[in-house]
Amino acid sequence: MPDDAMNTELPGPSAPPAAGTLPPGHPLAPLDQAHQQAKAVHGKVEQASGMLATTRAELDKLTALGDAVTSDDVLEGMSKLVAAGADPKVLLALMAGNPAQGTPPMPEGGTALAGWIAQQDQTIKAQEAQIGQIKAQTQHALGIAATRVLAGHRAMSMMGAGEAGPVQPSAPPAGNPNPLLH
Amino acid sequence: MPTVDTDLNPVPFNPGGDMNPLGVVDNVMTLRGKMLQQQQMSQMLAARQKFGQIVAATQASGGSMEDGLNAALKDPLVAGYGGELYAQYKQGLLANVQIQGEQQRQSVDGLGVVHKAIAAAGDDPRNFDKSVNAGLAALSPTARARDAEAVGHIKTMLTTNPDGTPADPATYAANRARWAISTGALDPGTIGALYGTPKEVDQGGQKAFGNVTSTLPGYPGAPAPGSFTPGSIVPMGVAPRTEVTPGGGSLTIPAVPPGAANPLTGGGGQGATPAPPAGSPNPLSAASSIPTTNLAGSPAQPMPSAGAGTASGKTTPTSTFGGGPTVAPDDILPKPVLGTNGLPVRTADQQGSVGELVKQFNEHQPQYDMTAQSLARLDNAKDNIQTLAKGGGWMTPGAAGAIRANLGNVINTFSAIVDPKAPPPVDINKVAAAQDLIKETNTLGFSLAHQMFGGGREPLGIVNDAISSVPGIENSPLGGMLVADILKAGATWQLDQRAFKQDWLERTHGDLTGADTAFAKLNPPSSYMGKVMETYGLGPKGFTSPEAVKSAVQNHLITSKMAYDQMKAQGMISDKVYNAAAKRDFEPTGSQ
Repeated sequence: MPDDAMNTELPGPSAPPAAGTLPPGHPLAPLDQAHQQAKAVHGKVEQASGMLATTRAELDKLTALGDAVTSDDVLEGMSKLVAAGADPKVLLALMAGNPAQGTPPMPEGGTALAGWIAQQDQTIKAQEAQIGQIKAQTQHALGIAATRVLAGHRAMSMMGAGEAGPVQPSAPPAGNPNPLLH
Repeated sequence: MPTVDTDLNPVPFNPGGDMNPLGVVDNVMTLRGKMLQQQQMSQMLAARQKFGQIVAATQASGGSMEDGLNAALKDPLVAGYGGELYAQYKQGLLANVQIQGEQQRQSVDGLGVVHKAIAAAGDDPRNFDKSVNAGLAALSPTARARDAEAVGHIKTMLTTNPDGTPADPATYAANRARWAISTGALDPGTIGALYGTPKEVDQGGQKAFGNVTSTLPGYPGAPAPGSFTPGSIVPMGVAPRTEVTPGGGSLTIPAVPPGAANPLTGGGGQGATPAPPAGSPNPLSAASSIPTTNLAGSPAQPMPSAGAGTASGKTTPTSTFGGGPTVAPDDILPKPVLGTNGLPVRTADQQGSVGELVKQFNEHQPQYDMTAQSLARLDNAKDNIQTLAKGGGWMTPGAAGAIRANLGNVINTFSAIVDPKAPPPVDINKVAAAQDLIKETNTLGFSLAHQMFGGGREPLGIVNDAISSVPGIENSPLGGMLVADILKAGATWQLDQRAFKQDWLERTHGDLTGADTAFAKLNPPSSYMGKVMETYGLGPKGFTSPEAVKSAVQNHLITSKMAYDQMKAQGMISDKVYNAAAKRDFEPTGSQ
């Protein structure tokens, strides 16, 4: 089954910062930006986690078939994964294997296919353990970023800035006629 | 032919005659009454004017509002109407305070909601969830729109496992500790800086803690108002402390002086700007504050995850005494039919019986409080018994213990009178322990009477019976300790039952039907008592093993002779062994 069906990689140093909800000049914009970025990363990880859960469900069905599993069963399961958003190219590459790296293609059926599925099961298990830890970290990072944003709001209101509410659309500048009225 | 008299004969005016004299008097009296009313209104108007003048003059001369009121009430003209004016003034003050309170509640922001929820939740993540929801509902619409999402993220971090299941209390506590470590937001200094301290308000003679004034702008080392540099956020100091890491290790958080490195931003203090996200675009690097090694340098344990407790990912709290669950399983809870508004639909009869149970539950609160307090008293009594029993001697608990304790005190007093430099003949610690135990016995007696009968006005006979039922100096050491622990088991059973019912109440929309029976079935009182007997190595026929007897001797609960007598009676040792021991050990011991 697809060991690369989900991408657990997170934005690295080259990733552009996420857009915040506050304008660039706002004093809390850096904190808000960090919060939005943490939210986006956590969303990605959640998405990957959901894909893993779907993969796990399909894999369990195939494992339950034991030696009776056929390549059609695998294809059916993979089609469900594609329907759930998995990249079909990755799944096809998985089925084809990579002889150069010693990865055999997916067997036709019988005991060999059951063994291949068991191997994928191990891979997914390792990824499940990994995604749990990553999710715990992104969840924590999101909570910390949220706390910093709240502390920022608190500090701003204490400085007399009042309640810094969500940014409202600004009125058109004077002299710029409202097209809806003309 | 009949004649008609057409002459008019007017009746002459005759005041005082028979021409409705009362009506005239009535009219006169009404007029007089109205004149009096007018006169009173004029006086009241004048009194009010004077009241205002006196109060204004007093305040103008440096007096307080209260001084002005007192001065006004001393004036003969004003005093007659002063009560009404005074009440009106106080009513105005009250309204003002209420408005201030409402404003204060409204102005609390999302961080306040989180902090308050953490304080209110204890170790129960469900309480945190409820408090956060209540806090968000009380926020002003603008603050709610602004902060709700961030509060939700903190809530998820604290109360949800990575797999989406709700965190159990232990995981919640670990998450909270990690959050506190990463933000430094929970130490008292920080909270004081964020929320300030209550300010004493003079409400016309009555001092009250009404307004909360933040110390943030004037915090030592903080920027002066107006010179705050955006980005430094909260340049507060943080006291040093030690936190428990999720892996069970400890992590020392060093002190942060005010204005130095900012624990909330991770950047510098005043004037410093926080590290821009581009510098560490991967938010996982922000999570580097999660300790990856413990103090010994070895890798920290992985954080608790779902399934750490049981296969289902949930841990059911159990009683320390009986071992049974102190939270009702879902399948035994009554399932009310819910209406479209999410509230249970009940007939009038059902509503009545449900309401009655809740009423009884609430009425038992004072008994619950008393029971909770009695636990600490029982522990104190046990400590005193152990102190007295240690080493044996004059003050050993048992028959005539109170008399002996008083006599010991008398002997020490006389000794101090005769020879102040001589050491007291009776151990003063034991005398103190005995006196404390006697007092504790009386208090526990009243407490037990209240616990059993619940009224607080029990007859003296019942109180005396209760006193004789609690551990005291008249009990043997083993007896006293046993009585104390059995009462503790009973009190713990009641406290567990209360917590069980509280949880039941919350999960069934206020229906306590069956909660008592369910708790008793899951946690029979005998299991609590059995645990106590097991602790002392006691069974229905006495000590269960020679080791239990030995332990009782080592803990000064019984003497060696009692131990050998008991073992012989229970057939644990032969006559030969008993006689040899008697020869060797049963010599009289020195007393104190």
